[in-house]
Amino acid sequence: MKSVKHVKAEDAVEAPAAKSGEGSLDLSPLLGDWVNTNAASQGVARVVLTANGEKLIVRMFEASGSSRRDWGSVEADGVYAASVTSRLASAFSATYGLESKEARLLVNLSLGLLIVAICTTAGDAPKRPESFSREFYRRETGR
Amino acid sequence: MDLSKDKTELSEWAASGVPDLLPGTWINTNGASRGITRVVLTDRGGELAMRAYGDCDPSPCDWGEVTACFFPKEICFHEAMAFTAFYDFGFMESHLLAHVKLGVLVVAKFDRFKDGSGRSNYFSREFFYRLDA
Repeated sequence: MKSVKHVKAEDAVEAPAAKSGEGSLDLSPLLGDWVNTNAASQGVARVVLTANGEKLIVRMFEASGSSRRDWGSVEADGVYAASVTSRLASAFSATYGLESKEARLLVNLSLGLLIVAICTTAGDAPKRPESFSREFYRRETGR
Repeated sequence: MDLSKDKTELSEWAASGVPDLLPGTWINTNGASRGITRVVLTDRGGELAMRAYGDCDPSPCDWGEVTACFFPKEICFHEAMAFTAFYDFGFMESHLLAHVKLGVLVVAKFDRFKDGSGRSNYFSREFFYRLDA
């Protein structure tokens, strides 16, 4: 059997085996209401992940004094499994346009926590860094 | 997180440049890794350049050099620094997110396949130590 293109050995799954797994990922491990483990955080206090068909919808709420600022909803532009052959979602990426900035989210599950990295860059200069944060979230209700 | 921070941070960033602890050759702590085996970081006149090598047979796959987006400590919340890098191989793209913790370079990989091979896009994380440290 001919191996598929790869630039690292872990991706060299034989093509027929890879084909059998075609289709969208199971989003269920990501879905739910996630709350910042640091109650004093001035960053994103809450992340809500829902499914719209096969799409993952992300909604963020930033801590802002006693209230929470709603960033609104965006669709994840990438959903990732834990391995090349897995069908269970365990990470995603998404982008928010915030005023003159762009916030790139790189998010993954680890040991029951949702780890959210937010890379903010100038909206007109994607490589000009503005801020970086990485925070941890627990499920609001146990699973 | 204060998203209102702006120009002040940029001037601090320009002044701080690439910290000494980053440039060098970083080796995967897992000698049996089938992912990225080695990372070379270089200070290119204040910009951080990254070159990754994937585990391939018979010799490592050179991913080539890309300019990273570097986030110095002045604009990081809860981290000493971080950087991102992006590779597009045509059949696959890899978005890398890295930071250094306790002398270890932690690289998170978000790999997305574009070739219709049926392989799942997937996330993985690998750890590297600096060869010349």
